[in-house]
Amino acid sequence: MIIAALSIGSRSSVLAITLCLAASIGSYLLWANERHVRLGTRPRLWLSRVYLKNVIKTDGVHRLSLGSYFEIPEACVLIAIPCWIATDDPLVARLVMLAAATVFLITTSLLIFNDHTWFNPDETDPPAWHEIFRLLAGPITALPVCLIALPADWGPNGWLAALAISLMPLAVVGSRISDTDLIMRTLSDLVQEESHAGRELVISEMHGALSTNLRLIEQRAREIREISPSLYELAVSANSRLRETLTLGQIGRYSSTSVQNLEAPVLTLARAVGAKANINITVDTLSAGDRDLARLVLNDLVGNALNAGAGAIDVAIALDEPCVAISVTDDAPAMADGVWKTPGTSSARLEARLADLSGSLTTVQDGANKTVIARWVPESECSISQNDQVSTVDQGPGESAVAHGWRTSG
Amino acid sequence: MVGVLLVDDVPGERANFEQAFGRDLTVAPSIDQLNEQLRRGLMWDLAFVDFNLSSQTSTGLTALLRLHHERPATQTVTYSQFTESGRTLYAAAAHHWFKASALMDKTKNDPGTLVHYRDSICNGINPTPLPWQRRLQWAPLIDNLLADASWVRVWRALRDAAGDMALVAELLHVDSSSLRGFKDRATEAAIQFNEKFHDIPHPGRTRNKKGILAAFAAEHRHFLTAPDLSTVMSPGTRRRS
Repeated sequence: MIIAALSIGSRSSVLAITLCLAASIGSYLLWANERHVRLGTRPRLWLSRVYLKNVIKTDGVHRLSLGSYFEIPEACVLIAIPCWIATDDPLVARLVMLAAATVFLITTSLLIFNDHTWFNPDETDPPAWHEIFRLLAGPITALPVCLIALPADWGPNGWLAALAISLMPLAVVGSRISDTDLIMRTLSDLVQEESHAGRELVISEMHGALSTNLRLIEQRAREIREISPSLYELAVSANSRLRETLTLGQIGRYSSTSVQNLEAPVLTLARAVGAKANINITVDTLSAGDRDLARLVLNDLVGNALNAGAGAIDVAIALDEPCVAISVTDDAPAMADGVWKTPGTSSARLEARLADLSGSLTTVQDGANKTVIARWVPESECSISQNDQVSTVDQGPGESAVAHGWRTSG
Repeated sequence: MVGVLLVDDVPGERANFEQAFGRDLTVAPSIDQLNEQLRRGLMWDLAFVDFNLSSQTSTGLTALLRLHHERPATQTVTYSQFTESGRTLYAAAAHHWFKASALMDKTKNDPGTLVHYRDSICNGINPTPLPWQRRLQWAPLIDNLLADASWVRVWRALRDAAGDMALVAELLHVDSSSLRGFKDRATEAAIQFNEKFHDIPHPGRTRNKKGILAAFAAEHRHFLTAPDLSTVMSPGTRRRS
């Protein structure tokens, strides 16, 4: 627009004015869209909307956006106007036009080289050409200005000024890109810190709101476990899942549903009595149903060991094909005869539960240490065997119910 | 009749205590209410004191200090959930600085256990689980972690500076050489505390002081940034008149 205004003002050739006005439309669209992006608003004009939607969108791929293919020649035309077309204009007007055109090229260049697709702090192995282009962004921008502007006739006093303007991109583009890189590097840590602080706040509030009540519900449910075992299991699951979710407060934890998080309720139980707990989880995945059963098994076995006076426990969750096996080794005094698995005890209830899943509950006394092992066939294995069964026998209406029924908690 | 005090801000926590102690129970959900009860001359034989009181100015440390001065005959129980941040330091501080009689984890607060604690303590028996008793023998390590009142500021800054002592010096406007003593002594104390209370093996000669201090400051931030820590940790403040 500056160039167009100066061209009209100095009555330049019709060609210069036409080119300037055409280029001005492009400049206006670029400026308007930058403003909309900055303010987070949507353009109302049809042309502006089309431009935003189709021309300047980035798709995360290392390539120029469509808009750049218009803006680069547009900038070259704008630079050419004061150099080769509007040559009859006063020198000052031509230099101002050259400066304006160079600023336009710098803006275009910064839009290209500061695009996030060109610099991603998380990208560990960016392509070499990509980095070389960014390093040379200043000279690459200055080159077309110099090539177009310097061979033109600027008179004895104008050439040095034109040279200074032509070299402007060297300093501006390089420093702005370097600034952006620094900001992006810091921004990444800042965003991580802020998101972690937010997550910590939510977790702290959740802990305050739920921890005591869930703990009390579990205590009460334990008292009526005989009458309502499913209520007790729900309470154990809820309490354990809260413990697992609270681990999200630790830096580097992004999911509370990983199998590794099953260690959280074990550590809570052990820490309550000051016992040492060593947990080794080698299973990669467990279905939601198996995780719930694992919580119940851990709560039962670890709780029993600690209540019996264990000072150290070793817990392992591993695959023992085709079963999942949870073993708890402790140094508590040996169990009195006639207690283990007698009717009405938690071990008897757990054994019955595991037997429903083709599993078992066994114990091994090795010197001062006792190991209790709970095994069961996980849901994925069940579905495989179930599918095998379905494929080999004629499926009647009752089979599906039977197959599903054996997963029902007792 | 044995009077029992519960210092805890969470209303739900009272349920088991009310069931266990009935009318013998007094609840102080905040330091202001505890002060009020002390002014009214209430006496207790036993006090269960939680660490977090949801207050910007005080924690259970202040409650322990008030009871230490105003009710020296009241026996105290460190009451908290010890998997939470900074609670092991709280346990060590309560045991070493205020001679707490016992420790109870909140997950073990069923009415039967509460009554057992009251009866045991009144009979001179320590009901704290044995593994905890063994760990609490190392409670004096708290004095090595907080050897000087100025160290509270350093621990706080350490968390913000992610263990970088140069940045800590900048944050505290002190010369970094003045923090060298802290760095060496606090690292050694943190290693020992981790070993005795958290079963973290000694890192040996390859230890990374910055990492150890940063991890310790992060893990125990709730205790190390407690608003009343610098007041309570001073032996002069704890001295009974």
